[in-house]
Amino acid sequence: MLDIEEKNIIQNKQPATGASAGATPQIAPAAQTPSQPLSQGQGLNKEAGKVPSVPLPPSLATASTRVKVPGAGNITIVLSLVALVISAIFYLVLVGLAKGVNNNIEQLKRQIEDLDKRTNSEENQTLVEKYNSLKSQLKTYKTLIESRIYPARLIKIVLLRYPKKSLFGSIDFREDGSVNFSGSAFSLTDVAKAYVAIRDYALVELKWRSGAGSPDLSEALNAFSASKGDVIGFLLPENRAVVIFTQSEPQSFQPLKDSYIMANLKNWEIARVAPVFSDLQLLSLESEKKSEEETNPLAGITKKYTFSVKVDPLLLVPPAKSTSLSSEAGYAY
Amino acid sequence: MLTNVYLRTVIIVILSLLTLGFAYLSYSSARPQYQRLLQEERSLNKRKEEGENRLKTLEELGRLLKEKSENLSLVSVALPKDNPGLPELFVELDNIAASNGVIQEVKESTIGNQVSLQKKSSNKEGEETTLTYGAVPISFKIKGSLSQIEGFIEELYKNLRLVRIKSISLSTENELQSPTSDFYTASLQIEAAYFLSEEALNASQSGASTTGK
Repeated sequence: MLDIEEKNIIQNKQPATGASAGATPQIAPAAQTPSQPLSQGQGLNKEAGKVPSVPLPPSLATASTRVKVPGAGNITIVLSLVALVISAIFYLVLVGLAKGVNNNIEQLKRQIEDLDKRTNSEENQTLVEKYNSLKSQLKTYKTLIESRIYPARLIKIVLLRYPKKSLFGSIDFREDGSVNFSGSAFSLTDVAKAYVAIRDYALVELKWRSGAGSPDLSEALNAFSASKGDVIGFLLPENRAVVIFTQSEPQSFQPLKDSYIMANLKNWEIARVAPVFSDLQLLSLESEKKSEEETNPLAGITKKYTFSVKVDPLLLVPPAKSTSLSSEAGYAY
Repeated sequence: MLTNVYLRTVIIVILSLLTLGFAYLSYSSARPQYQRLLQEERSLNKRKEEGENRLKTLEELGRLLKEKSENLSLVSVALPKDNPGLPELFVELDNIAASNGVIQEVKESTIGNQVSLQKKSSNKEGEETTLTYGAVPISFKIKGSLSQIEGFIEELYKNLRLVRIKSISLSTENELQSPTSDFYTASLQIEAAYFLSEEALNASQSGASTTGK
């Protein structure tokens, strides 16, 4: 029994086996006429009974189960080789790149070694040591300079404030801003006067309004001088200024309520009002016989006193850099 | 025929995949080493650049130190290194006193022992660092008017040589007898600061510890 697949194979094989057509005379005529195709299976079924059962020669019988792709074996080998070659090229490229990088690394190592040698030469070591020493020397200098206080202004204030030496015999000033005023007086009234002179002294810290040009101290001095007779002032860094004048109860002084001051302070803002000397304390008060030879016993007795105060830190701030230190005297009224 | 084409396509695809697979395998096997080499090259390049910059900075530094040597020598005048430089300071004090017309009582000058002091300072980042410096306390008296004394103190402050005024004591000797007299005596206590290098600091510390034992 031939099935349809076998028939088709036979048909396909026929041209190839044309030379041996004579060797297969047993093939049914129906199978030799390709003009009558076996379609839709119906004819097959109808004719199935009429087709004689012919045994196939062994060569044809095996052809029905073998699939042969012409040239497929060669292509496989070629493609495999191509794959191998591509892989090899790819690998070689990578190895070449790596070698290049490796050479570069070696070169870089040599260059770095050379650089290190030059950097760590004795001459450069000395240079670095000198630089480090200078750097820390300058740092120390800068820190010490910046932490210094400026005591000259205090002398000026004392000079202007206490022209009568009868009030104070000695003034001891210390770096931390503490000041001791000591003196001798014939009476307690004089001691009280000295006390008041220290107490009734106020300072106003001013800040120059931004965008108003360079700070003008005379504007500030003029604003206060109308009501305060003994105004002195000085400029400070960061566009600040201070004016100092006699003022009873400095803590309660309110310049903002003074219309004249406010009208004349055009470009200055009032930042702070404070007493010049705070923490006023009477450290000692003792009677001392001035002279043994004095006939009037009362006349020979003096009162020795010492007041201790703290100076407002603003008075010890170094002057503005643009202002020469000596020019501050010009601002004192 | 269709079957043949189909089979060929399948084989080509498989071979292509195999090619890619081989390529990937060779790449993945060589990649880590290559990456490591690249990374090493990068880090070496960075080191080289740093080394070059360092060398350039050193050259620049050497040039600057040479150029500014005159100005830099002033640093040693302002803050002497490892010694208080007292002779120079006394000459300075003399000059300042002379220029302000005050009389300096040299006889009453006393020099205290050298001490090393520590001062806390904060840098731009707000971190506190401790500076160690040497200081010699010196006390002396000057006589003159208040303005002369003020001038002396101001000059002392402006002077290049770093001194800190620790205390000033102003007094008139006969205030009750002669209130009109404008003649004051100022007792000053100053501190002459000087720079302590690390070697000097270590030497003084080891000396102190030896003495302590």
